[in-house]
Amino acid sequence: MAQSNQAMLEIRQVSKLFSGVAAVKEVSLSINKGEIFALLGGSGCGKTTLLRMLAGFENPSAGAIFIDGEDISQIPPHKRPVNMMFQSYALFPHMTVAQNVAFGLKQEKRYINKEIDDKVSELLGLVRMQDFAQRKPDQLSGGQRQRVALARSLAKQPKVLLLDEPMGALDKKLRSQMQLEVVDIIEAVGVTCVMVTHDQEEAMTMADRISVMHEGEIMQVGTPSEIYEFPNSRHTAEFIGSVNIFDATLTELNPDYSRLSSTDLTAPIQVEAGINAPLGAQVGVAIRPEKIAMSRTQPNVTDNWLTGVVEDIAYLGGHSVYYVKLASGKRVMAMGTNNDRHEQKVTWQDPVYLHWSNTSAVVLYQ
Amino acid sequence: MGNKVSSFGKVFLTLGFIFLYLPILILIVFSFNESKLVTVWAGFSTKWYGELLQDSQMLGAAWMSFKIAFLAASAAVVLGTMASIIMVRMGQFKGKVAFTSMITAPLVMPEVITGLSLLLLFVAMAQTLGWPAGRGMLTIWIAHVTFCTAFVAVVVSSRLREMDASLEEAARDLGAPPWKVFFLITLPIIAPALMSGWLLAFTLSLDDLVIASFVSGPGSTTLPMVVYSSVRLGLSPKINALATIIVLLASTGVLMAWWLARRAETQSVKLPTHH
Amino acid sequence: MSWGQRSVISVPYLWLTLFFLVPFVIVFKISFSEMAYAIPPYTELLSWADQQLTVNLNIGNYFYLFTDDLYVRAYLSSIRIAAIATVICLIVAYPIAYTIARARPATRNALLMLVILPSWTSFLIRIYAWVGILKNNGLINNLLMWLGIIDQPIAMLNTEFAVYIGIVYAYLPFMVLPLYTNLMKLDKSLLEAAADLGAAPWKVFMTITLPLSKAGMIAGSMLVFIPAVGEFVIPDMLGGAETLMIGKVLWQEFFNNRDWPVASAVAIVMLLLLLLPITLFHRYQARELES
Ligand SMILES: Nc1ncnc2c1ncn2[C@@H]1O[C@H](COP(=O)(O)OP(=O)(O)OP(=O)(O)O)[C@@H](O)[C@H]1O
Ligand SMILES: [Mg+2]
Repeated sequence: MAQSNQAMLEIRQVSKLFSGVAAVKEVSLSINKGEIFALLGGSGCGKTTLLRMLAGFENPSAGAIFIDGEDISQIPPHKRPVNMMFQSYALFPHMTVAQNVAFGLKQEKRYINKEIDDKVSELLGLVRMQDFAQRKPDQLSGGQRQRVALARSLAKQPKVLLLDEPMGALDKKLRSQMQLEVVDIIEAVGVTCVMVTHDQEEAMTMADRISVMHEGEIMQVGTPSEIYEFPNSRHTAEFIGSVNIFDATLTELNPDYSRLSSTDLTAPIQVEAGINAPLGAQVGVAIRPEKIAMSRTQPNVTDNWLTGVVEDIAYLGGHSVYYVKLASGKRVMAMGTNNDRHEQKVTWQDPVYLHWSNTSAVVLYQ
Repeated sequence: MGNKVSSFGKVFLTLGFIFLYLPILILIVFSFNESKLVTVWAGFSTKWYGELLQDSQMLGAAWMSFKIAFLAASAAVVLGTMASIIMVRMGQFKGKVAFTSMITAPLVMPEVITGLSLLLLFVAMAQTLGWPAGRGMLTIWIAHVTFCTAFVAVVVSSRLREMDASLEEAARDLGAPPWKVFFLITLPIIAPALMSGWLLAFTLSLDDLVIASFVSGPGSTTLPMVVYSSVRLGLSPKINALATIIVLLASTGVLMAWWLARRAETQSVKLPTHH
Repeated sequence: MSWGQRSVISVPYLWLTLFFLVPFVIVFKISFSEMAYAIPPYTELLSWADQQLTVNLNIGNYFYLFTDDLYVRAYLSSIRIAAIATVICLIVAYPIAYTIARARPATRNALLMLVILPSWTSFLIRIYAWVGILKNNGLINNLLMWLGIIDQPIAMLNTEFAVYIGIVYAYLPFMVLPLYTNLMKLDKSLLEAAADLGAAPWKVFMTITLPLSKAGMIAGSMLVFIPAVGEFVIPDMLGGAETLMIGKVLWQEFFNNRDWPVASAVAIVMLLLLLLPITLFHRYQARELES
């Protein structure tokens, strides 16, 4: 991954109001050169609005945007060193594939026709579309259209490439194939890239860093594993993957470990390291289902275990998710791999024990 | 929905088409009538076409109407397209409500009101500004442009609304300034709508009797005005012959446009596509 | 707003203001002047004599409209005729639009084109065609007499009946088009859902299709009703001397009596009567144009 720590794109305190309602609230981000950066969030959280401000289609109500150290907030879209791949691809229907890719180059006076032709065939080669140069967009399949759109937005060698829901128009199977392909192309070109998606799997697969957005605000920024393993809020923990969250009270505070109690559990929860909160503080404790082990007999530990009855099992092929109902009525998810076909399986209404290590739980302050 | 509905629909549709086309068919048949009586058949003849082609007043009026219709339709397409862009693409601005009212009202305004009001405007302008000096082709053209613009705006704006706005954004994103986006992207994509808008405006202008009667002056008689004064004197097979020619021209024109549109459509779906 | 946008807005805006809005102001002004034997044939509202500015507001024209019962009758009968014709038009157009909207896509376009095609030929000539069909020695009477059904021709031309035929004939496509557009937008799964819930076909139609096509019915009705109220050619050619319609009265006032001020007053009152339907139409159309 070709990235230096030099910021290519800087978003400073950017807000956007639509008739008084904030769609984006005081967002600040710094995106490094050569990085693939994903804006991830649910519907209506302001991702597209933020991206459109980067492209210049919306003006920020407050704040500024810098590219390569230059403030571009007041520059109109057609003069920004930024290109966008639209969710609908927005391929010009009356132009061939080659004309679509050449469009941006033709807007600059500095190229002669021969140069443009060479560049177009080079780009079409890059996205493996050279055989389709003379086709019209409506004669292409979804994946082919996407590759043309990508080539078109790379043609002007933008300093920042923007992707709006890049896989949104593709079906599921094609999606995972194209995710890797698009990343390969972007990395081959080495362009800095900001993408918008509501699909966490897509963000995790494609991006070097992810920022989770919620109601116009940035909740957390980090690498995919940081976001997954160390969520800093209930919202992020719940949005990325599935999670069990217990409401807990801090009961014991030591430098190298802490204990919490939850009304849902009989045993205390133990987490490694100290917690940045006073005794008696109300916090959330998040535990991912795959970090929970299941057994028929009581584990030989004092902390970090619970017991309940299997209420539901979701068989997902490679693994199964068990929904265990506790005495308090709370349901806890645990994951089990299906590695033996003839295994004596845990089934509905079986009493089971769940336990986890003291490195598995994450404390959520908000 | 069951067969009862569809067979009822078919019967009704057939009756509807008979109602729409029978009068035109009868006109055409009697244009070949030998007799001057338009309703009694007296043998086949094409003499009324001959007479029509020698009627210099009629031909002159037809040429006048044609010129006005051509110029009015062309101007209306320009104004109507601008109006559509204002309504569909420019969001809210002060005076937008007034603007859309001025676009929709001419669609339904009774012709006698439009005609009278424009005439009074031209008279008042001539009095105070000295322009337009006389009434004639120019005043008819202005009147026709005004009401045709509304019709063009309806046709074009419906196409513009269907058009994906991100195509225009993509072009701007790739470095085209707004005027270039319009000419390179928007215009080619909405071109078929401009064509239908032009044809609609052309026919409306060609067809107008009432407004032209108000705003025309001596020496600028349009075809509908000649036809009207002629039918007021009684039925004439010459008018039937004229009707036949108009029907022939109009239907070949429309059918051709339709066929071209169909061909363009079928060509573009030659290959299977994923949507 | 940029300079470019401003100039794009200003061209059609100025054109329509000058040639559509201002004329109404002038009509309004002249409706308060008096007829004169001059060029132009009306008196000025403002006169300047002996260092005195006189405003001659003559409301006599409006007074006249309401004393001579010709005008009141003409307004009322125009509205009645236009309303009845609109209803007939709606009844004829609805099944046509419905059937076309339910046809296969390929047939649909062809059928729609067949409905519109007649309007591309001359309006005047299409009305003229009915003269030959409806008159006393016209085609219908000749046919009926030849068949021996009647022995005296039925008077059809120069009656209100002929005007209804003319309006329905000329305006039918204007009713079919908005209805068709509206019915096409109707989500077919709604009908299937209603049928699935046990509604009989006619009940589906009455409870789902008809209420949801209200917007199309209003738009079509206004497109027929408003111009029909002021129609001149149809009552003139098919209605005869007996049929009173305000468009014809205005025409005669202007061209035969050369009384521009009264013609203006007639137009202003007509406009006031049509203000409500025009607003209704505008609301529908504005939604269509902008959304
Ligand atoms: N042009 C606009 N005018 C008014 N409100 C807008 C406009 N564009 C977006 N919004 C509002 O701003 C908020 C954020 O919208 P945005 O399109 O950025 O969401 P998003 O994160 O892209 O969602 P999705 O995943 O559904 O595309 C929404 O509440 C939306 O309704
Ligand atoms: Mg979005």
